[in-house]
Amino acid sequence: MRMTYLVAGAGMLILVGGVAASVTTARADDAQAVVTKRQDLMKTNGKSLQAILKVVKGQAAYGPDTVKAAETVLSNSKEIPSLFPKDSITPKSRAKPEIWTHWDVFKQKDSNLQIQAAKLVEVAKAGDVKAIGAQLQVVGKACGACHETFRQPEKKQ
Amino acid sequence: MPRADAAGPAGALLSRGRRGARGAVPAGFLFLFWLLLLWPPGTGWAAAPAAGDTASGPSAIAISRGRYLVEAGGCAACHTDAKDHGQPFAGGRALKTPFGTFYTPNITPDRATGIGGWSDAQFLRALKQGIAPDGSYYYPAFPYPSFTRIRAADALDIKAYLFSLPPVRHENRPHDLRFPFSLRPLLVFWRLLYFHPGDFHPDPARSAAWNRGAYLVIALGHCGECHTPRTFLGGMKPALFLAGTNKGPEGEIVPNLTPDRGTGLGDWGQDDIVTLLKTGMKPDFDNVQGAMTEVIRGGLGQLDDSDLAAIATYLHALPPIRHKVGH
Repeated sequence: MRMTYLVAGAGMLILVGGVAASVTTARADDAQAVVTKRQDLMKTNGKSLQAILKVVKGQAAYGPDTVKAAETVLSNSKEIPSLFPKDSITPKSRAKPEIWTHWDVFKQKDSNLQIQAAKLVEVAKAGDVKAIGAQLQVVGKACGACHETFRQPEKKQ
Repeated sequence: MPRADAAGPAGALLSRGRRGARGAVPAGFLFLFWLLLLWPPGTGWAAAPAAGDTASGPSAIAISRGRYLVEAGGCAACHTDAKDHGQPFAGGRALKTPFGTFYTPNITPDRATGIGGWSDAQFLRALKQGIAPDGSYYYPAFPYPSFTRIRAADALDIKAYLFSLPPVRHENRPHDLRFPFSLRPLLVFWRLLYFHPGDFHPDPARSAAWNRGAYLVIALGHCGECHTPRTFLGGMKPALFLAGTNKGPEGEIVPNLTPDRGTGLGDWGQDDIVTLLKTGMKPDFDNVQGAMTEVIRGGLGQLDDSDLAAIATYLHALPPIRHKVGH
């Protein structure tokens, strides 16, 4: 009788432990998924801005792609907050926990990026390369302002 | 004086390093160097030539030149405890290292707690020899292995600027170091291995821009202090000068600045380097972080475009070193 309880108890424990473990793993997987998603988004932003920089430097011709690149940055900037669910930090992420303790500041920095990216779309549509170059710098600074506050310097793991 | 000083700065660093690595320093040379280091302060070779304090004090031009040099040298970054809202140049910033925590000293002209009582000769000796007015050695957390190459005239302009600042009364905090690094006299051995005093020698075969860039990078900017990997004793590995390290300050990854394609700045244009030094923005629109942000904000970003271009010229002309840092 006693043995049965023991076995059952142990079985329960294993079951509960297993479920808990799988939940944790699932959470970690989810977190990593969102981290990968936002890192990809940031890389796309970087590539889009680089493409615009090429136009500014005269290494590529101005065209519809210039506007498209600016629009990509704008639409991405609107997605950023949703890609930072609470405490979504993994070993591969350089996000700082301050994002969630200072969520208002984080959101405000993102809305500044949205405003500046919208202006970039405007000047990109107008086609004045000089103005595009100037606004590109402003957008770059908006990116940097958030990184500086909310991203860790790169360290070797 | 070490023989290698006659050669060009980078070459000199390299040749010294190989010799040091083999450990084949002749015993006689060691003994001589030892003697020189033990020479009583203010009497021997170690006493820097005094440029003489003038009664009228330094000119406004010297002060403004000094201000620019202080920006190029990034003095404020380490000598200000920004985290605890300390006064500029009043020291107290903690520098965590594998050897313990260093607390930077007050370099405002306060007589009691700063450097207000220092003579020109004492200032030069600190900067160029790493020796305090009381004759003790500074820990090389103070980058005098780089600052030794600063021209005496520039060093005195720096002093003129620092002495024009408001004095701040702020006691220096003693370093908190692990044994045996807490034993300051042991630095004599470290200096034998890793400290190579001597001026910067321009290379007449190179352009003016290259020479200016070399001076800014090697001496004033002391870029190598963070961008060069170190030995377990904390000496720079000269064969990997500016080749980056995974063990930078606060554990940060510090990139390879040599023009190697793949691991260094081989794909960067000169204008890319200038933009980074000015704004912190990399060509891929990622921005630098950590210590380099302070370096840029603390002064590098304010330098003239011609000086930033000179730095880029020098970096581009470095021998490429294949040395991967980061992930």
